[in-house]
Amino acid sequence: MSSREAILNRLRTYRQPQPSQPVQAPASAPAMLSVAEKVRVFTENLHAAHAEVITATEENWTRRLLSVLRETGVHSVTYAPNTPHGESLKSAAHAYPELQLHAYENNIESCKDALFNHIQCGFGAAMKGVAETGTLMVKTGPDEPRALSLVPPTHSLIIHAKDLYADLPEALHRTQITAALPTNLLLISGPSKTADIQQTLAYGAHGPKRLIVVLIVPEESDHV
Amino acid sequence: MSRFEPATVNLEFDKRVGDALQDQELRANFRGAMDFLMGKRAAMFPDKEGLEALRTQGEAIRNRCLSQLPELLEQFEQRCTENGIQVHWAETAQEANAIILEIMHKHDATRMVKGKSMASEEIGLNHFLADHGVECLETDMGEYIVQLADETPSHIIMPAIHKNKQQIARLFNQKIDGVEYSENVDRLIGIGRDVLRQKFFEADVGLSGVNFAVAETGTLCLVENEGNGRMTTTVPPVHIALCGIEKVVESLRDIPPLLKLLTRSATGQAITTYFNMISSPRKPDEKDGPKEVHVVLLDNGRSRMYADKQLQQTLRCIRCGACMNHCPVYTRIGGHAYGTTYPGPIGQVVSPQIWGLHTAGSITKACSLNGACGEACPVKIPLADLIRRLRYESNNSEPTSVPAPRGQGALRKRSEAVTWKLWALLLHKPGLYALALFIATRLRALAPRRIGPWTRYRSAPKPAARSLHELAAQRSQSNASSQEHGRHE
Ligand code: SF4
Repeated sequence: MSSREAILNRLRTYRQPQPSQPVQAPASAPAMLSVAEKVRVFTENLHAAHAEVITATEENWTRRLLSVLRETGVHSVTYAPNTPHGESLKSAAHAYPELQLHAYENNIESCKDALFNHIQCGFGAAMKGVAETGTLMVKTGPDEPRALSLVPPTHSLIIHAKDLYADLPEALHRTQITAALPTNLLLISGPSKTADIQQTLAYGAHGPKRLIVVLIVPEESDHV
Repeated sequence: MSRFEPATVNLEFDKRVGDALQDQELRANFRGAMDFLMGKRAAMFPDKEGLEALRTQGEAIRNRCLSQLPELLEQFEQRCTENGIQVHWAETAQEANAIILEIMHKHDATRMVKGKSMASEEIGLNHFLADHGVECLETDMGEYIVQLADETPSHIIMPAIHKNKQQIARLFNQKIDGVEYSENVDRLIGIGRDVLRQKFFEADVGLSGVNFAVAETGTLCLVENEGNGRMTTTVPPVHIALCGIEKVVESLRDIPPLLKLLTRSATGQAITTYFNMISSPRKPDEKDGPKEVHVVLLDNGRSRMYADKQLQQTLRCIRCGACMNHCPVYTRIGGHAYGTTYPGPIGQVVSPQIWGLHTAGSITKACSLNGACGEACPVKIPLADLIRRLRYESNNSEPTSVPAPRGQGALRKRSEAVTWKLWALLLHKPGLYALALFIATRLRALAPRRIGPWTRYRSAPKPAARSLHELAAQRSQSNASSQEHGRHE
């Protein structure tokens, strides 16, 4: 008998009858938050997690992001080509000659060294955000390579206020992807960190030390 | 200390506890850390009712999933296979190690980076692979520190919690080339980051644990803050996930409540920096990620736990570590004193069931049955009851369950058994009891003044001159006579 059968047989033989316990509804029903409230809570939580948030509009986000990068000495960025946000960044970058943009268009095998040792920032997009925990949901795939949000010391990503949800169950359930999950679905809630040395918090344990979130709010919003 | 040696658990337990209690630095490190973690957790659950509702929900989810465990495992296997993940089954630690080594051999791989996995500690993977010429590097900062010091983790969530920053500064200075002594935590983490980055870059295979395995979608979920789990499962060309068979949950809907309970109970965080859900190897149009993903489903005693109604509750555990943070014994003796991979209350329940009572049953002694662990547990495992049950099994000679925990009755001592028999006899026969009481009170001068370790710090108990029974009888007699007296006046 294979180990598989042996294990499954044992489990079937000794299964305990379970009283059918219906699972209660979540402890607290998700608050019905307005977009403005979600933006506020989301931003507060990200700040508490040591992330930076740039609140901007469709029109001015590239300029604002690029100047923050320039001011903080980031001059090499990799991005996913053929994506709306990637293309916007690329066209805006002409005004920043000192900035080197690298399209992440080849397999990691051919760009591993640059990625690990030279590129300072990875730029991508989040498909959804969760206000309650300040979380960004990133669906990796051909247009969102996994290492983009992981290897360079700074990670920046864009998210639209309309894609914010109150809490995680809502964000997951209102998502079509749950039927067929991508290779890697990520929830990111701040820069990489550790408290493994005497409970002292330190950022940039293995992943990015900095997380810069570009939050796009509607033009007329007073969040600008 | 470097290697987990099951054979030493029972034999050296008393000595390890004694040594730990003598070590003031160690005790200060644990006291500080446990107070910190308890405070963080408490701050996350300000509202008692909300916490209780969430715990009830967590318990119900885990029970439901366990009640369907065989079907969920098959469904998980099927979905994984459809997604391109290769599934292996291991009944024992040896088998799991052999499967992992074979995958390494297939790829001529000699360098493995590891994300945090207590299951890999449980099966002794590092040493097994080292014996077969594979370099196996821990990349969680705490695990890395512990590996550098040639020790084992002392806590399931914070492996290096027994060390303070001075000790870690000395360790880095001694063990890593060209590193100067520094107590600056950012510096120390930076050093670890640099060393390990190079290792991620070069590794042939990444090995991780699994926090939840979703049957509905064939998804591996990993919870972490550092990013080493993502590195391990993203950069090397092959990823192997080692997953206890009890980790399977039915659907994605089960994840948010469990995740909420896990991170809040473990480190007092609303969520960790990363929640990583992996459902397949790299697809043809994708630019990165491992080209092969394997899951090793590990039994190693879990199906035996499953067989007993009460002990099955062990399998609800989501490995948050809250029970150890709240345990007054763990706080004083620390994780290494137990001598097992899993320390603290959950360790006292899991370890004797994995390695047998004859091997690890003695650690169930290290419990005052105060119940703080069970109250902290996010999935309501009645840990104190289970510890008491395993204590009983350690001393019991007749099987009480099929199959019983291995090594049943192994800690039974003849002298103890005879003493209890006599005690029971006395309590059943009033005449005999009265006689024994009479003798004990009348011969109290002969009571021994030293009784082994008991009298090392305490004075010996001495029977009273008259038993309570006699005193009460005397009193009611004198009361009666004084009343009689009063009436005649
Ligand atoms: S037994 Fe409960 S408290 Fe202890 S680690 Fe497991 S889930 Fe956490």
